[in-house]
Amino acid sequence: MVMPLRLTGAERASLEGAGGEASAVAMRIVVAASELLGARRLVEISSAHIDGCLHHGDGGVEFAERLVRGGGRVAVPTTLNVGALDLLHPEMVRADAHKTEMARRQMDAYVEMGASPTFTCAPYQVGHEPGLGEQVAWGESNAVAFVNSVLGARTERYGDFLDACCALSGRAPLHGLHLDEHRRATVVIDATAVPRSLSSRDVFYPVLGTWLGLAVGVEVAVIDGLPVGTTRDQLKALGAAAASTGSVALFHVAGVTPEAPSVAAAIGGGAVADVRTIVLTPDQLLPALSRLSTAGDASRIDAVAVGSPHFSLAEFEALVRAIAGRRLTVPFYACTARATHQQLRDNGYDAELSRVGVDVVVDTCVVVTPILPPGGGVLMTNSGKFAHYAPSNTGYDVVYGSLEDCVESAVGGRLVRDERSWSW
Amino acid sequence: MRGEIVDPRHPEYGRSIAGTVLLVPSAVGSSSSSAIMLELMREGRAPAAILMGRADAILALGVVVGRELGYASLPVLEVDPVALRDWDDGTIVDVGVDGLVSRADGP
Repeated sequence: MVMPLRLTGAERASLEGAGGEASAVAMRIVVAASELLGARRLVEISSAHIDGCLHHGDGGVEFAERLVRGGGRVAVPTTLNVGALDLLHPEMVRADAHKTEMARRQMDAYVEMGASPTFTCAPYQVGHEPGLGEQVAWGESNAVAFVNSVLGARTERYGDFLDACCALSGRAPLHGLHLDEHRRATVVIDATAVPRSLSSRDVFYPVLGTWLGLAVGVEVAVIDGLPVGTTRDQLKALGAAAASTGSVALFHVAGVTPEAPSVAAAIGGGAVADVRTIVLTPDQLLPALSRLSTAGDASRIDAVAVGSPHFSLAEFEALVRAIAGRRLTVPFYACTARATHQQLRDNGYDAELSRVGVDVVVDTCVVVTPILPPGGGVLMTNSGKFAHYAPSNTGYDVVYGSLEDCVESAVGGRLVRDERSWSW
Repeated sequence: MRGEIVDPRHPEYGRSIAGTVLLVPSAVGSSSSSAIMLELMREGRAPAAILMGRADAILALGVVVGRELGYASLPVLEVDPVALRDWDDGTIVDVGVDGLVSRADGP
């Protein structure tokens, strides 16, 4: 039997038009979603991240512009995900004129409704950082994984219209990961045998994430045995890869992430021995590693792309250090948010990156917008997410390696990869 | 957006779903399902009805939004997947305004 959705007086008033037409439309859609999901009531959210800037078709533009015409304004601080254009370097994008215009209109509509023009899949890097326990409505799979896992805020996977309607109404369906009981880990990943020499390296995390998504699907896992000093960027990479292969929206890392001071805490009480445990072995990790490369026995590379999710300032610093002033001989794209790009200009890194041949792509990325040279070839990346999406979205074969591997390969024009063992 | 199945691994690859009664036994799982459904409705290439064995909220939400934008809508019903097992491809289906789903050619 389906239990009815109960609304507050304010929510009912909004539904009846007290807040204007767009507000009523938004609330109707949130209510419809809540009924479809079986939620008993709505939850008030403190922020939103809208994924709806990608142009799938003109219906999305109609939807956004309809809300603008109806007086739509976001009710909570709201950031925007990547669009289909690099608004600061439009000449870099090779899209057709109609798509370009419609994509721009869609982005403009959300800005007009009061969303902040961040145009990044990593809003948490440009000042949007909800705190532990905060109820939010975020879209974009890596951003959802990050805000839930690394910040301990609470969101479901919002996208396509519902994210915007939550932002306008200030409400979300109270279900799923908004609730304590669904945030507890139901599977333990025993990674205690992984040597520190591997788990302290950035290159490990997209592979771990790729494996995790395939191994657990939508289940909430707690990973035991990673270093206490595991960085935000490493967790970002882990979550992004896991969200790509398995729709993971929340994971815990014992001793590292805020809801998991221990494995016991992550499972929410009860005996750890009663919870399903998967021991991570090289036999499981190696297939995930090889899955990230589709190029077979490539010896040359035609382009490098990094920055999925968008590069942080720390990652740019590592990139500049790795290049060490040398010229790159293949096209090298680093994708990031415009706010981060501004920081690069302020600290002089932008000039240095330009000098050595790095193209900084802003507001978007190379797998959602045609930026890579046409004709395909072999793309190298340090991103699990790029490795997952590049073949179908860009027509390139892909080779996965560390950031240092990507740089050495781009300097020499030939594939260079650290073949240190992934076995133990 | 033609309403054709484009996944080469799908058994109905190349088939158009426009104007059909589409049976979806379990959630498609794509986070783009809402946007895709909206575009199909906008272009008049949506299924005539969708019968879901288990609710795919994302797919259904696309229909809700299409309705809000005034596109020709379609019924989306959650049905017992067991009841649909004997309905072969090509079966003519009646979907009534009261939500009653039946075969047009018999029991």
